[in-house]
Amino acid sequence: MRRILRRLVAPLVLGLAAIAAPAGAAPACPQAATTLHAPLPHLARALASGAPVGIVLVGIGGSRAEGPEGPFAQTLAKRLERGFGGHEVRVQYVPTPGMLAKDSAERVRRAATEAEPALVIWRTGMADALAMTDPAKFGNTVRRVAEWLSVQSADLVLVDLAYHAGSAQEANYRRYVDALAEVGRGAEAPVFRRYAIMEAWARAGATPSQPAAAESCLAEALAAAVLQQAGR
Amino acid sequence: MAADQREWRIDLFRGLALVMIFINHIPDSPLAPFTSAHYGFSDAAEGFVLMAGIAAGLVFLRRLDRAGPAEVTARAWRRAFDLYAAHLVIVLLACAIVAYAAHVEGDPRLLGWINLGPVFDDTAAALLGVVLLGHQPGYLNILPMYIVFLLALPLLLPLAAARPKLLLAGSAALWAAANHWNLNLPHYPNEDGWYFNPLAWQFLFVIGLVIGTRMSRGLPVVPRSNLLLGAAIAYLILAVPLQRDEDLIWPSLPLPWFLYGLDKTYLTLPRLLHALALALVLARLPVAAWIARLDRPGILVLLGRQSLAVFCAGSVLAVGAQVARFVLEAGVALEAALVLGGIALQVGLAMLLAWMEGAGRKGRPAAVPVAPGGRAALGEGGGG
Repeated sequence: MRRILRRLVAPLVLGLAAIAAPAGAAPACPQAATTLHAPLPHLARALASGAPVGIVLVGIGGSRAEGPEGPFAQTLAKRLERGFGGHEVRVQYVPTPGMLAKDSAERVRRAATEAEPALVIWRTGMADALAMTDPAKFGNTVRRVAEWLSVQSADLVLVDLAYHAGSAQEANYRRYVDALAEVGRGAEAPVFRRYAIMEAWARAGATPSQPAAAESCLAEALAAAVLQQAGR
Repeated sequence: MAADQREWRIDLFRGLALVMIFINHIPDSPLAPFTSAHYGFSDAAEGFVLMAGIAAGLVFLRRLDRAGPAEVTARAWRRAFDLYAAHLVIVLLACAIVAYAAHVEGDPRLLGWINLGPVFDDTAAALLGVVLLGHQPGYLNILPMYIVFLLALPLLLPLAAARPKLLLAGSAALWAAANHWNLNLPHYPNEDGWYFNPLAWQFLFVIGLVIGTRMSRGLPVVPRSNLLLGAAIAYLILAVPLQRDEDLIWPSLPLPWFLYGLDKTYLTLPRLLHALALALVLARLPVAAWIARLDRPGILVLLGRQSLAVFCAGSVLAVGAQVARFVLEAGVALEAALVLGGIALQVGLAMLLAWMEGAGRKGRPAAVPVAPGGRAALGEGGGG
């Protein structure tokens, strides 16, 4: 059904996009100093075994390739596949558009139960920050998922929130960034500090002008950090 | 029990569900402990869909008996169109609220609120998605599911009346198949399924529909087994610590996920059983009378009778309250005021609509028959 829908609307959408979007080459990525502070033993073990490596991307991708989130998912998947050399990599996307962590958690558990991945990358926190859920409960929800995944022999990498310079509500966003950092320290689930990277870019005046380019650069940095921890 | 009294209880519980849905749509508000979601696997959405099915059975079976399937089809599809139009209006209003907040705050991250991101970032595709019901913002996704149920009603209703066991078996099989094979209606432009998966949730609606058709025919609907009642109470009590325990790690069992997971999208078994257990307890014990004694002015019944308008208003007010809470960095007192103020506005709307209906009836010629207490609005208003 989705294919039929896509076939019906794609020509119109592509036509409109061609009118609206000027062509341009992607700029080089600004510096993004990031390392994951905890190892990824399950991923390393899966790579060492030579078996296909399952990766579940939660809250990442799901949008059309032309959409702003498309580049992040595509770049991340391609870089990981390339970085793992000849290993067969099976990437599964679990979209959680606008969903709170407590609702996304069920999607994570279901996907991990069915796909048995070695690595789960979960981008979360933005919906909770906007809805102003209790940061402590939010952190607890994520921690429980991290511990559950550990029992399932899967590593979890958390990706925290996006930064935008000039918002009066930054203190609110930071509460959820801090909650994820706390989970990362306690549950050995490394956090990819997207918020800090984007803040550093903004302070240095180095933020890519196109949102899609920024997303690609962040995905490059995340992939590099994962590959480094996996010994690649 | 008289038919009128049964319908009164449905209105009351539907009104209660509307209030709880509104509170749930402002997550972690100070009033969250007053909702069923706080104490169990299911929440007010399950109750609302079950009661929508009951109301549809009550109202549309009478119409089927009186005027035939063509009339039922016309009415149900007309109602589906009304819900569709209402859905588009509330999505548009939610977009306007979020766009205004993002503009005032100068923060583009706000545009991603409740999954509205594609409307602003990928507008051409998202607009197509919205009108085709393929793109559903968060908290505004119950009506599309109910539209599907109303479109299917002309097929479901005769089966519910004549072959209820066959319909229930088929419905259960579809629920299990949707869960087992992750079948869902597509989202567009996001690559996702509907948040309220109609292929799974139809089971609860069909259970309600069968109950409603039996009530309409004066047949017994509530199991009298005390053993079953005891099991239902035990299940509800067991769910409380499991739901409240913040350190509990949900187990992995050698069973299909939907038999023990808690995924709302697929209405997994623990959620379904929780909703049915709650319905059984509410039907067997005089809970409605207790609530009615507390609610002497009949506010909940009033809300339940204007369910579509109240639901739509509540959906938009909840988005507004979320935005206000964020922008104003509201403390507990202001949060409580936002929630209570939103409920007061919905009550005011329901009172206004009831008054307008009363005024409209007074202005009609005496020869036009009028259902007592605005009953005709009950089942047809079940979308909200």
